[in-house]
Amino acid sequence: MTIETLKIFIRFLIVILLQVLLLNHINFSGFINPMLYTLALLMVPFEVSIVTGMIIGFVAGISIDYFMNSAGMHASACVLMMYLRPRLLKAFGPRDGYEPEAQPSIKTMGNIEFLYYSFFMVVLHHAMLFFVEAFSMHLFFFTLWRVILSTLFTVLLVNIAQYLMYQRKER
Amino acid sequence: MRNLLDFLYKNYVFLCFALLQFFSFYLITNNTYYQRSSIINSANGVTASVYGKYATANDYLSLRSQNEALSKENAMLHNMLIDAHLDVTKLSQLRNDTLYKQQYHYFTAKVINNTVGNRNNYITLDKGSLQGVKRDMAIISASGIVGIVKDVTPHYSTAMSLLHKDSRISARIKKNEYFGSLTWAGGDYQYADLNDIPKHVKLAKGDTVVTSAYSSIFPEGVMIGRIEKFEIENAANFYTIRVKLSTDYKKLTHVYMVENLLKQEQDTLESKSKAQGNDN
Repeated sequence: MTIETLKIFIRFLIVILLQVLLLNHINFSGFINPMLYTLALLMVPFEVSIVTGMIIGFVAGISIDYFMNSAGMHASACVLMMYLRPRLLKAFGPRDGYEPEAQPSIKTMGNIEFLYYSFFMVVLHHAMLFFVEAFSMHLFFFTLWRVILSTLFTVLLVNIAQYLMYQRKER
Repeated sequence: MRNLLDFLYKNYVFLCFALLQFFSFYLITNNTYYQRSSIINSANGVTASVYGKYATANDYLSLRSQNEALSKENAMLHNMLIDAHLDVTKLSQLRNDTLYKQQYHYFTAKVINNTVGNRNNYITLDKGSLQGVKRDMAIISASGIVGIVKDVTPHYSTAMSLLHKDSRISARIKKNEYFGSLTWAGGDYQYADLNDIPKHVKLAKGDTVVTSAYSSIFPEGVMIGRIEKFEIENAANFYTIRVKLSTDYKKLTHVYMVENLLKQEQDTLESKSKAQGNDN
């Protein structure tokens, strides 16, 4: 339990509250909500093991579900995302190692790599979330359209948030 | 031996993944089919109180439009009061309770959480069993129907919005009394579909759709919306009708909860008749 762990925990709290109190009410063009809370999961440190990662994802997802009456849908999507995270990190992460306690970010990975990484993670999350929510292949293309639009929106917001966080730290 | 351990370790990760997914899906199916998952529900204490505080703060932002709507409604109600009318007859001043038994009991509630963007939408209200809320009570707003109460705790209740996969509401076209059922297919929260209207009925764009008398939940004649467009798909016997809902689900703040005081009597009678029909 270091000060770093506490910081990450507080980040989760802030992001979840921001999600349920502000972002869920955006409903851009009727049904597009950016899921900014995925940012906190994207930034779980490199060295966290896959099982711990999945448990963190499950807890974060279930807390969102708790507020949104969606019972398990977000949890399921987050667990899938965290399960495949190490593979994506292998593909886009720094090749020549990283410092202990380092977190995936535009600082440690580079702008383009982080964009790719966040895009694939968010696509996984949204595809799982919206198809589980629809629970059928009826309206397949509508759901797909929803996945695509929401993904773009979320990725945009996640990357903007990253720029803001690191700009502030540099000053 | 080392290979075996490696193999077990790989399986252990996947096993963990499968277990968490299984648990998630268990919650999802439980909630979808019974709406009874009492652990995860925003009527639950913590989330409801967070939403309650948020709604209180948010209320200030819409005070002006709410006040206008309320004063309009007040004016309308004042017009309906007996005091607002000139007494032209002395013949019937008695209001006899034995002749007019009150059937619907209205009371107000405030919406403290509401979604429109999901496939299945729920509304959380700030009235619970202590204020007399019961399961299956109707929720309407000044502009039309809203939903049906599903879960109740002492101080809060959650309702299934009309915008839900399982909502089927008995509706009729006001001008010619033909009735059908209203469902919501997802997508735009402003539109719902009216089914089972036979194709020989004459329709026009803008016809009013209201609740029918066949529902034991909603009072008869509550506004639902207006027909936006209608068509007969090839060789079908029924119209496909798109209804523009009169309630703006995105602006819900104050709603009325309606209790049908005779619901139980009606339901018992109907199930009795059905049971007898099966016997013969």
